[in-house]
Amino acid sequence: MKVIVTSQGTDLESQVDPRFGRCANFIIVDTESLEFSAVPNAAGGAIGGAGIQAGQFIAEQGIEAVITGNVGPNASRVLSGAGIKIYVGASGTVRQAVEDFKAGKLNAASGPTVGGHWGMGGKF
Amino acid sequence: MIVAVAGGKGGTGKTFVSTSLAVVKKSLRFLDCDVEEPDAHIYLRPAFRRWSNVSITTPLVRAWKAKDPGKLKEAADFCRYNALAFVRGKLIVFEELCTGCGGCFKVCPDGSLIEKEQVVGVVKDGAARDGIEFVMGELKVGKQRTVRVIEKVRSAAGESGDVLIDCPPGSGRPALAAMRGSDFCVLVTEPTPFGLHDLAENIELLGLLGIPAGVVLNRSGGTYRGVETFCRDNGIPVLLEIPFTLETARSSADGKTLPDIDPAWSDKLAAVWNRIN
Repeated sequence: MKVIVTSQGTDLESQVDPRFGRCANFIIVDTESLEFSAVPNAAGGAIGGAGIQAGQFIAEQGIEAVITGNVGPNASRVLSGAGIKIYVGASGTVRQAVEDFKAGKLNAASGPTVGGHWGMGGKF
Repeated sequence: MIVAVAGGKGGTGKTFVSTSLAVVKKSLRFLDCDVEEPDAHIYLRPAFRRWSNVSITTPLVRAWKAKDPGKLKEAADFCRYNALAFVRGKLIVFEELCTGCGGCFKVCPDGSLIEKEQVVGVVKDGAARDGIEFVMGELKVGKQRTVRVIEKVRSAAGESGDVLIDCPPGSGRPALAAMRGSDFCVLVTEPTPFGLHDLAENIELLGLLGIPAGVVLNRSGGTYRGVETFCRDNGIPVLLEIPFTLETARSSADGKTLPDIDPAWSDKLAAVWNRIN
């Protein structure tokens, strides 16, 4: 199964980025083989609607789930519109997050877990 | 002549100063452009005659009309504000992010998007005390299109006569939209490091716009001299000082302008107008 983990770095030993729309990188991981590739998040510097832009990118990747720390209201709407499951509360390394996901330790979010602009430090 | 009253820091007394200047000059047009928290009407007590809505045009999706779903995706890609998302063949509209630029209608003109008016604010006008023609803008609660409402208020400036603009705080887009095109800017500040910091930003902005400026130092007194030093070093005139007194604070909170508190202020404010001219 292919998932995307929001990450501060570009490999499995990087820390999970708790922000969704404004995370540094997306790591696309095969949960069985742990083969991965990293893609910088083009939405990180968006004027607004970063979660929406990032959500659309993810919808085009043909993956089944996103693993992240938190997700805001707009990103949640795009991802659920795309039928992608969102697993929140991930922390530690990307490898750990994938292990936690496989062990069923992460919660599937049924809606946003934070308000808008949380990834901007709660400003605006 | 168009005079803007602005100031970087919030709560320095911009509206107190602008309304005090207005009641001394009389018979001018007063535009309250602080549309996120307008309060000049508390000092000038206008009787409103007219209300007009400020709207932007946002898209509404009629997906069944889409001849080419690819065009919907192009519209989503075009939107720099990410107000449109295209997922699984469907377009999702995030109305609150839409600035009303209309670009999506141009990219996708096949009738799958229809125009929907979204009211973001209101502009009211009427006659206030001392022969003042009063116009104010009010952003609707929960809306973010501040600049759109300010531009609508500014468009009420008219072609002739004196205009006084009460600007929003800061030196960002709302302040810029309010002060742009004015002939002179009165910057109200207070003698604190915060007041100085935001005053310096305003001076930089006005330099870019080529608008001459003078400073009103409100709540003066105390020991901090940073603002005076800055003004002296940069050749910015200090037009007026309003000492910090409990009576001034109390009266201002009651909606009284400086001349209402003490008629002696009228001459000092008239002198400010003379220097501006």
